[in-house]
Amino acid sequence: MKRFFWSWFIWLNSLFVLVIANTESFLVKVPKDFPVGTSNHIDDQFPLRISLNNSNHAKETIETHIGEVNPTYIQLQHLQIDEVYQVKICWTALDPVSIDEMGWFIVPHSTSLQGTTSEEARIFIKFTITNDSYPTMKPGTMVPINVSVINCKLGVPVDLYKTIVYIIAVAVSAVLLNRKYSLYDLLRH
Amino acid sequence: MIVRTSLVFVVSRLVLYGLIFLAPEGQFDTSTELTLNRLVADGSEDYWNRHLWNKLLSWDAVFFIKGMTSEDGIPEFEHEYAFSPLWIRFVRLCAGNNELYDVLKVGVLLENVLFFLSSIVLYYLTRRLFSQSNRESFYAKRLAGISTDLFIFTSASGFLTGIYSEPLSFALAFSGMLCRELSVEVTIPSGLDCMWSKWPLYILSSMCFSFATLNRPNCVLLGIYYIFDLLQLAKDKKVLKAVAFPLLAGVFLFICCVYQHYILPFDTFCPQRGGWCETQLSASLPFTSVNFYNHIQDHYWNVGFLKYWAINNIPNFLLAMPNIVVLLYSTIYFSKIYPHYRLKPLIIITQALLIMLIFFAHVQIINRVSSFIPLHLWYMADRILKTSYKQDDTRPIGDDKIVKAYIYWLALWIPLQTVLFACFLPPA
Repeated sequence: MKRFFWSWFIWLNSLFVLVIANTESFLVKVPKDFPVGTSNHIDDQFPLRISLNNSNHAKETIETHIGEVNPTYIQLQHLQIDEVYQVKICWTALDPVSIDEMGWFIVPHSTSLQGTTSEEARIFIKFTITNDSYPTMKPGTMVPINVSVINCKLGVPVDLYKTIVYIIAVAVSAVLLNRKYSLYDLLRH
Repeated sequence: MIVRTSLVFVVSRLVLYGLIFLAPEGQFDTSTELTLNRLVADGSEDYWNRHLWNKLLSWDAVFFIKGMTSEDGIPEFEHEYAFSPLWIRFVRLCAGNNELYDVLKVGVLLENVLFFLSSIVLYYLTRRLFSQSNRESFYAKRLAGISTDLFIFTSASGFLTGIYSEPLSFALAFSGMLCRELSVEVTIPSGLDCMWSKWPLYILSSMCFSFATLNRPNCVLLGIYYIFDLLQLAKDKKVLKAVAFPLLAGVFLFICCVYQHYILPFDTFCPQRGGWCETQLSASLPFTSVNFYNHIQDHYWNVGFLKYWAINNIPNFLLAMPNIVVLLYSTIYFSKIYPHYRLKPLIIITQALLIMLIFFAHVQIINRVSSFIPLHLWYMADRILKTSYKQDDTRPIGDDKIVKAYIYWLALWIPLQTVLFACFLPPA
């Protein structure tokens, strides 16, 4: 069952990726054997972090700069093992940029990344931001990016649940209303 | 008629705005808050802004609002020329200032006013076209009424709650068609004749089509009217009329297109732009082998011949299918089953639009952009009118089955698409 939802969500996600102009997304599946830290130490070395502590979704606005640090790395904290998360990267169409080379990876314990090390294994996401316009934006122009990390349940990101419920409610209402007061019949008479 | 149409229009719009108001606040694409942070000093979290106005800033609305609230209204980047500078200037002019929520409210008001005016023009256009033998014919009146209702329930309805540029093109395209219809007469056996006394009206139609094209480039297909008229008049050896009516009108439309797609962008971006500028055909003329609009569509949105024909786009083709079927059947209906001489140019325009959208564009936009052509509305209205005289319509067949299915789809699609738009979810 879980596999079905998983494959269904990957398909759904691929559609969203294709058709949404200012949103890119990908999935992170935390392995079953990912070593969860036991110490109470708060790892705050890495400058860009998104924590899901006591939450199933979180969003941070990251300030990126055109032509400077690329790729951008963000550490994800407090993810649950054997869970799937959607990473969603949104930017405003006011800024004509492309987000490429998205992905995620695990940095093993005691391994350095951009001058930081940790005793525990860490999960990072990365993406690059490139100018996609003419004229090009000036180097150093700040581009705000919203990065969201959302837990997926039954193959659907949890922040979409209320929207899906609303869409279903509207669809059912439209069908029922059309059955009672058919638009076709109203037009005929 | 006006009262009835107004009532249908107001009620249908209120329902859609109600659906937007009730839609959950957290949009799928979270970029609206970034847009607001950039363009609004404060107030974006006010009650009505959060529950209604902010939700109208989805998809292409961001490009429109950027132009409407900028200092000079001039596009900053080349791809922004795809988002009607004409519509942007019109809203800026009416708004009087560039404060986001003021501009947004004026834009939404103009959108609805133009949409409503388009439906009124469509009513009179339909009556004119279908009541040649008897101007007060009951059939034409009813057909016009049903067509107008169908237009109000267009598949683009959800997008038209915001600040998209389509209603301006609807109003201009329908007005242009009406002006042309009022200035030509169909004669037997020769066909078409233009009346000198109606020359200004004919030229006015060209102005309407030209502004519609400046607003939405796909309206350039309306120029087919002039090619059709030119060929008809030339066939009848009415040379002077052919020059003074369709040729002059067509040249005006052509000049507008050349200015918008070649001269203006070439002056603005070349030669420093490189790339597209280097396709210049002659060193002394600002003409390139690819027009500017096609260049930006191809470069930024990957629009081109069969480029959208990918497995992953099958859902988008399915979403477009109801309009593809209805538009296609309408061309067959009025050319084979109930041939109508006056509709000939519009049949060709519809066929050209279908080819363009199916093979070159992001096909699902057919649900939004096809409404400037009313052929399918007349097809459906005619079928509805014919079946309304039948006592038993439990098992419609053929065309009636298609029309019924399409209207059932509309009843589901319009509210769903409105909600998807408010939630910043596809399709765009």
